[in-house]
Amino acid sequence: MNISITGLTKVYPNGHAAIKNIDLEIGSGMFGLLGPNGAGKSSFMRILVTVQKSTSGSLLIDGMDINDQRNKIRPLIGYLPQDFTFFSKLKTWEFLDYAARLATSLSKKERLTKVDYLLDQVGLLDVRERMANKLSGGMKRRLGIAQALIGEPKLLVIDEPTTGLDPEERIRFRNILSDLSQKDVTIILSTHIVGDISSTCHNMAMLNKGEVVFKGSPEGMIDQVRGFVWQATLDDEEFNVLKMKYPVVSTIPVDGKWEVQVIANEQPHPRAKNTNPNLEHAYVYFMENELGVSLV
Amino acid sequence: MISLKNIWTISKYESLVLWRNWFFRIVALAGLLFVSIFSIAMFSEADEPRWAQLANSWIMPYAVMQLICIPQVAAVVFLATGLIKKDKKVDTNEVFFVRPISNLDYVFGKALALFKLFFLLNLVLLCIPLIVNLTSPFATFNALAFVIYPLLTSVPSVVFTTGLAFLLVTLLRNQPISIVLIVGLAGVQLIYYFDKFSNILDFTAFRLSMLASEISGHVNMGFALRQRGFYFLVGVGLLFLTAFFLDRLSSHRRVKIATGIIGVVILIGASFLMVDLWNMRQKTIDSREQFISMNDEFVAVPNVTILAHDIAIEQLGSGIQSTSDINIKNTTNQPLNSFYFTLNPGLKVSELTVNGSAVDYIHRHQIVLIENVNLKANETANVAMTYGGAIDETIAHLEVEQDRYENPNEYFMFSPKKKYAFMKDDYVLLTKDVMWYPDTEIGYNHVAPAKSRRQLIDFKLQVKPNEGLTPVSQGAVTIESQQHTFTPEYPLSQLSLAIGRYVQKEITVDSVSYSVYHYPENTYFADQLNELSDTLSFLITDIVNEYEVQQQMSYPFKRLQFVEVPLHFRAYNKIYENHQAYIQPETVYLPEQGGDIRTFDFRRQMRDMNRQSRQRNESLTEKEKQANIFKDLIKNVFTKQSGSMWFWDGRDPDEPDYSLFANYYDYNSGIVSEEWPLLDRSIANYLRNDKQQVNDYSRNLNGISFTEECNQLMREVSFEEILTESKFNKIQKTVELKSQYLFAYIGHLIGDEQFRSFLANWVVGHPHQLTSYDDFSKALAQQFDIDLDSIIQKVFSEMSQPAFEVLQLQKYEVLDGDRKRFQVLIDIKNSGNNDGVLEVKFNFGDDRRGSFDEEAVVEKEPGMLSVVRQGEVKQFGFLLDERPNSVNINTIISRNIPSEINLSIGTIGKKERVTLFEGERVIQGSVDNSQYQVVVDNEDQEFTTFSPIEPTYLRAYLDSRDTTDKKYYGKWFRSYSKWLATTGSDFYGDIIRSAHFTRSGKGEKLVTWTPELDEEGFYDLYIYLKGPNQNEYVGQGDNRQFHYNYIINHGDGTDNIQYNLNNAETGWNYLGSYYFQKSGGSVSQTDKSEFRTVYADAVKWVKQ
Repeated sequence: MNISITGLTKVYPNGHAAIKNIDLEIGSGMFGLLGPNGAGKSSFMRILVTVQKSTSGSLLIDGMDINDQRNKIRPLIGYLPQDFTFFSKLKTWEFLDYAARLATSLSKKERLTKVDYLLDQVGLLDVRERMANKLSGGMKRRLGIAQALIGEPKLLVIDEPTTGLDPEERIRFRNILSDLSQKDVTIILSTHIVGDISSTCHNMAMLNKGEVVFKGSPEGMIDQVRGFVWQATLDDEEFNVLKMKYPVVSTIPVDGKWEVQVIANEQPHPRAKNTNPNLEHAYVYFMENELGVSLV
Repeated sequence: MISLKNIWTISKYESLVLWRNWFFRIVALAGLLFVSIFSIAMFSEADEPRWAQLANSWIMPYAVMQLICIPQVAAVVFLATGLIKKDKKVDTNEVFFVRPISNLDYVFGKALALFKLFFLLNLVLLCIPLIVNLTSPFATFNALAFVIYPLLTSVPSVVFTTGLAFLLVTLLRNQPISIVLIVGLAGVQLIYYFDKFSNILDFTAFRLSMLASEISGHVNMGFALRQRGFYFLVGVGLLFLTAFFLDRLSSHRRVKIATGIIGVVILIGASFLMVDLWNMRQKTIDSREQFISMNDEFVAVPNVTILAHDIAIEQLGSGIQSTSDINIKNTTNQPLNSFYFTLNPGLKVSELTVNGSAVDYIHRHQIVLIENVNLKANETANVAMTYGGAIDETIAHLEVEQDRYENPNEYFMFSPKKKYAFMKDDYVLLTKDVMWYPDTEIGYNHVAPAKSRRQLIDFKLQVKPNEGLTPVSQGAVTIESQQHTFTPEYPLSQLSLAIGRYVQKEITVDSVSYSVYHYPENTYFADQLNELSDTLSFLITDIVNEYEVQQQMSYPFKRLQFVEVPLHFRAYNKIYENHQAYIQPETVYLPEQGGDIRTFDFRRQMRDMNRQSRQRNESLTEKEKQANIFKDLIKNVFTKQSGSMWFWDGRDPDEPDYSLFANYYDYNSGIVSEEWPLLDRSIANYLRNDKQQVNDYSRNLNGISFTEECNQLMREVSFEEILTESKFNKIQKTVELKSQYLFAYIGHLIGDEQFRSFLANWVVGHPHQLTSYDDFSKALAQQFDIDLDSIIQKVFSEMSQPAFEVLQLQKYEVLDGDRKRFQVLIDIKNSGNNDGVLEVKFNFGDDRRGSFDEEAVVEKEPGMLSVVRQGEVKQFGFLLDERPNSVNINTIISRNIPSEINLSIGTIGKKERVTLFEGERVIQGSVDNSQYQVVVDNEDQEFTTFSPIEPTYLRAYLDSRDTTDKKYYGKWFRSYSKWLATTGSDFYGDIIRSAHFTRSGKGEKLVTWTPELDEEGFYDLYIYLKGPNQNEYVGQGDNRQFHYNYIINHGDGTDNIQYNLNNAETGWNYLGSYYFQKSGGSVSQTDKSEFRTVYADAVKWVKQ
């Protein structure tokens, strides 16, 4: 699966340009889309899953134009939108079966087997007879993932996948995705939770105000921030001074003092030492330095 | 483009969601409950259903479908708009939008979900009447009815509503607005276009005519199918357009375009159906106008008269082929170069000869014009005409104006299409109204709308029906192989013909043959009256004798046949005739199995009879009961000699009338006048001596009665103008009133009995022939020395009317020799502008409505008919053997409101040594009043009202819609938020008896009587009351106390009086004595009372 995006732009009727002239190449495997709220991630994904049209530019999926060949592209897609509530009066298995019947042409027996398999995968088999609207937020999310997977999609588009999931569910979810990514499946994750991408994606892009501000591997993004992440143990007064000047990434109270990580181009405090950066540091650095968004 | 698998999948789960929707479940449960109650109450044996509801096997499923059609549409609107709406906050739809389905799959899947559910619900609901039907020992099961009515009513309605709801929500993206729009559309259709435009706009099929007859089957299927097809197709088209406009990217651009095009094409296809429907209606309107124009063109053209007419008619499939041999005569006193026949415009003339030679003729619409002939005055000729085809029934009843023509035909809860003729291969019904044979009389035209040209013709009819069918017509019948020949013994004005699977039951009594022609399976009457076979002839003799004594005439024909015809057959009243087409010479056409005629419902009649017997502790044999039922039917329906009827006068001018009187007079005799075309109808009206008690409630609805409305019209507009420009109901009433006035006037001049006998003798002396007005008026002048012309002229031309004041009513119990008798003296003054006619009658005893024996009719004898001349005061004296309850003074045409005054007699005191008086005499008429008194009535300027209650918004809106300038209001239609005037006999007034009324309240609303007194001093105060019970029904039989509240402003201050009504008399009631100065005093009445309605009428000050 190869997704080739050139000059993709979406301008809403009210004049707001949600995405501007995006160029991207996305291959198989997990692809992370990072950006603050309002960066244009959801608009981009909705275009990708044929729910809305771009204003200009082209988007080819395995060489098929998304505007001309939706009928061929849609069978390849699995989609989990950001805000996902279920039909109020369908049971868990019914909802999944409804999706399965539309997405596949399996026989009834095969389809029901698959429904149960997926429910098991996402840990919902025990509640298969429960009404979908009676599920907890995490369960609903997992059911959403199951319905996205039911058609064995070649392109899985997941908007804010781990919102509302507890850590255990989040790990389970990441594992499911990791397993999938071993196959010839392109998974596009959009998130503002950096951890989701750092732990799963080999490729990523960062969007801000509708534009791609970074594209590459998470490691590549982290490399760009190496040497700018500092760690120091400070008392209250020092900490207060520091946080007025630099974006603080983390603060941990240790023995009556604060263990603080900050992003800075130069040493922010005499006791500060360089530390190994992660994707979160890179994200903050990008927001602060490259995009001029003050996080202080 | 469309995947059935996807549609099915979507529909499966969406219907599951809908099924779990509480709204649907409530709707379904309510439907089940409602339909169960309805079916059990209406059709099951739990409460002996009306026969008409069981007799027709199509009714049960149709009634249920009709009952649910509107609520079902409302439910569909709510569910459909919810089903397709896309909530922007929830992206749930989008996971389905990315599935490989087309927009059409999505829309049709959702629509199908709705359809499945509602059609399933329909099936379940239909099971209820099905069970009732199958378990009923009397109803016939008709499987087809259970199939076609859901298909014709529910399916198109649900599809149309769903399509409309889907499209509106898709375009407007707002569910509440879409619901309001569609419900509003249904509301507009139901309120503004109810029964309009042949119900083309009735998308719920609530009033569309689809009821089938057991005799003729469906009669309007072409129209109904087109109408239902239109809404079905529009619904489907709108679903396609919904898919086109759906806020989801289509799978392919070409698919989207194709979807839109198909939607538009379907809508265009549907619009052809609509155009077709519109044309079907419009063609009737246009044709009728053309036919009337043709009549206008020919009405003044001299024409021949038919002497004899032999018709041979053969049924050919669903058409006819006829030949007519007509013996004509030129009776115009001038040679004729051309003459014409009228003939149904659907029939085509193929051959026409005069005296054996082919002639030139033009057949245009209903006129066959024969030209280039030379027919000298009084010359006769033989015309032979061959014609055939199908009957175009739009020619019938041209005199009926469009809105009356399109008025629905009410039958149970349906409005079956009105039919005037039937021509199918298995059933035929033809009357003169559809001109099924050539005639030389011109029908309705604008030139002489009231004119009726009549001729009596020697007919002979040969009928060759389709196999297995029996024809029924006038005259003695002989049958040779398939050929039936009818030879009437007398000349007739018209022939009618019914052909169907009739079987005959016949009995001959006193040399008249009575027959019932019915369908073989319709033997309900024989089953229900099975004990009467040996007594039927005696019963008939009794009834006939009683009727003929009343009418002073004998039945002039040799047979009387009752023929059941399809329930769709409909007749109208006409200006110039006193009968409807249900009555033909020797024949009565009855709706199949008695239809909705109450007294034909023998089972219910038997039930009521049993109840009555129990109440009266009577023990009647089965035979006696059946005899009573039979007599009740004949006397209620056919001779109008018993029974009573409540009706809203003026509302339906075409209430079916099956009175046999037309066969005694109209079809037997006639006085033909060129100058007074309405005279013959007036005579028929006068001679027809119906004894049925009719109770009109138009006053309760409109404030004044329909008669008074017409009297007012006659004061404002000339009779000629009324005949040409008024609505038919007013024309009919006016003609009736004028006739009544005319003959009451003549009756008074020469004696009512003498005049009636003279008329009856005239008819008996001229059987089966028409006489001229000249001969009649000469004979009348010879015998009674009166000038009929001048009286008719006076009655029909004068607009000024009398006005009667009842000055005094005295009543005493007296001794007449040894007999205790009752003397009633009534002084009446005519203070109007013309001489007036009065009819005074007394009522005695209880009104036992609805019972089965002869005593059911309230006795109204003795009475008096009198003329009171302008300015005259007359005293009428009656010596009665029985204590009268009330006296009824009918002023016929007058300025009086009510025009028929019903005065309660009340208590009667004894009086001795009084000179008894019986008869009438002119008196001076001043009522002796030595005491000074002042009366303030609600009609006077000294009477004021105060209504501070603001009407509700709804009431204010409803009031604003009625722009007519009304002075009086009906008591049944108002919410009484203010004081309004109404009228009635129980109220005070000289010519207009009225009072004000309002809904009772807390005392905020007031009326005040403020007198101007000539003398200061102590006065006795009296109030005029309806009696102890102001509201007729409330508080009867219990000990509740009811009061009115008065505020007296007198010379010494203010007194509040709570007046107990329980012992009040009808008339003046003493309130108290107070000192009043010349001005400044008043009496007020508040709206406070235990009754729901408070009346305020008049107050009297009597100087002590």
